[in-house]
Amino acid sequence: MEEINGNTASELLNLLIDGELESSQEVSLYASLTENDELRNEMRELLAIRESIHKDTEAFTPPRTTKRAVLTAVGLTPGAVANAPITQVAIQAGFWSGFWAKVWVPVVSAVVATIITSLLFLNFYDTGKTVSSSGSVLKKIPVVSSSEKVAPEKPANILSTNGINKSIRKNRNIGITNASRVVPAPNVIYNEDYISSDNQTIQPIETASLGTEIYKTNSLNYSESRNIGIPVIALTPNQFSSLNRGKLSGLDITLILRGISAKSYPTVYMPSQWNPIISNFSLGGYVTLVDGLDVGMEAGLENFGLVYFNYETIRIDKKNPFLYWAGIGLKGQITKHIELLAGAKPYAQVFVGGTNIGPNIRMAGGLEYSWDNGLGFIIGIEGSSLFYNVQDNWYSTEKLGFTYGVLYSF
Amino acid sequence: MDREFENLSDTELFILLTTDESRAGKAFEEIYTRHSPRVFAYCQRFLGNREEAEDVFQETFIRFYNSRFKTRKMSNLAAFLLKIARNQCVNAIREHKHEARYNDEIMIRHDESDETDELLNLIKMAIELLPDEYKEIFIMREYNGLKYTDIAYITNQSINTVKVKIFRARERIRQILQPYLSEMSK
Repeated sequence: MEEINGNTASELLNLLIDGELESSQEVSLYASLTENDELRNEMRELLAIRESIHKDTEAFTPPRTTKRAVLTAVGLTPGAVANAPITQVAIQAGFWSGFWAKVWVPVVSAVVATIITSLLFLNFYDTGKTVSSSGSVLKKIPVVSSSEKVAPEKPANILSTNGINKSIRKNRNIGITNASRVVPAPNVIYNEDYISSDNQTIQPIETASLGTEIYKTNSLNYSESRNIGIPVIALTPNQFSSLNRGKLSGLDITLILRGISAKSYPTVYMPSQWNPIISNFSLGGYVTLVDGLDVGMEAGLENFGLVYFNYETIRIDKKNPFLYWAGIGLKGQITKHIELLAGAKPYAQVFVGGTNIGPNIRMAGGLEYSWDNGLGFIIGIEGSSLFYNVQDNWYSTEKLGFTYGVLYSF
Repeated sequence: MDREFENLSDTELFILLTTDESRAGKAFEEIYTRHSPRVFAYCQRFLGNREEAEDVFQETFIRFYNSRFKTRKMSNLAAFLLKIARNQCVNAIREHKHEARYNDEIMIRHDESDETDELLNLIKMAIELLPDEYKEIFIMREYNGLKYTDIAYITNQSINTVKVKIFRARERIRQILQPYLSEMSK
């Protein structure tokens, strides 16, 4: 083997790949590498060995149980704040702080969801009030006794709102009792809270000149409203929500803008140049396939905590980047009116997509609520997993938290 | 709390560990999280036996914690931990815990190999076959990424000796792997 300043070229090559070669020796070694096939081959072999060693994940992964064993052996508890010897109080404080750090996201999500659901329940659940189209509260609708006989009046007197007709078609259980009569009066109020005990279906019997269908059954509850001069619409929130759907080429389209407040596991505390309030959001569009099942696309920007072993520096690297994500979502919804939820509809959502560093899957569940003008909001719990590859090794980051946002259906 | 510790240097963590009773526990956890992969890799590859490596690895951190007040100034925590680990490994080898299972372990490793990690499995076997004096230095360099000066500090040898031993360790490993490496270069 040729020698350079008392060292063999092979020895210098070892120093080079270890980063220990002096600059005065570099030129000579590079010249030898240019001319010497055997030396270049040796360098390739040494680098191949190093590269393989960097893939030895088994060696760099101590058992998970070891940490607890070590901390216990020295008198500490995982997550403890105090030092050994520590008092029992200190141990408990450490336990609870660690416990709270792990569970605060789902706990806060659950509390917020509960508060909002309760508010919905208290404001919209039938407490003897009905709501007019202008938002004013009307009196409790009196139920007509089953013995009364009522004949149909002029069509002009009959509630003539296309939206209402649609609403009625979509909510065929409304206002039915065993009374045998026909809807007569102006300002008719249909209220979903009066539901037939025998689930009779309303049938159209006549079409008014304004294109309004009059619904007749042998038993339809109604009430007259005396406090206004314009037609009053008193429907439950569930009926309102469906008024404006289906107007665009026969498609029900919903746009959703929502925020995501979730915690990454593993957690990385790092400052970001982004404002987390405006960054953790998504925008999606969904089309109704069949009643209660929407499909669509969604994209957003969200931060993920990344923790992986860097084999080049032989250190654990931690990052907290904001990543763009996009993909396809499928949303299922319970369309039936649930009294307890006061018109809010439970939904579940599955999302499959990707970020700029790897695939991303999401699952969410919660409540959705819509008003008659198509606006609405959602709130729910969301979990997601991001899979990414670093130096031929796969890692994953899980996020759990709550999502909230507004939607518009048209 | 966690964020505060993650951003501290090794030296700062060690100062907390020895001077601040209220935060020593967290400081120790952070030191463990930061250095456990390297220390375990050294134990695992030097002893060649996972169970024994786990014992020595645990003992390393326990000894480090219990002897923290004996060291006043900490300039290189990674090297200090590896020095403790090395002493524990040498003790374990001296007690012949390791030798009794040596050959069986190599056979098990060979059986576990698959084609994708064939070179890595051969390297592991080649490391096992190195004399201990070469093996430990090779592991410190390749697995722990230590500089020659740190290896010299841990092993109480001169830098020149370290250079020579690393070179010879690599030569031997290349010799053992030569059939495979020749095939690979074709």
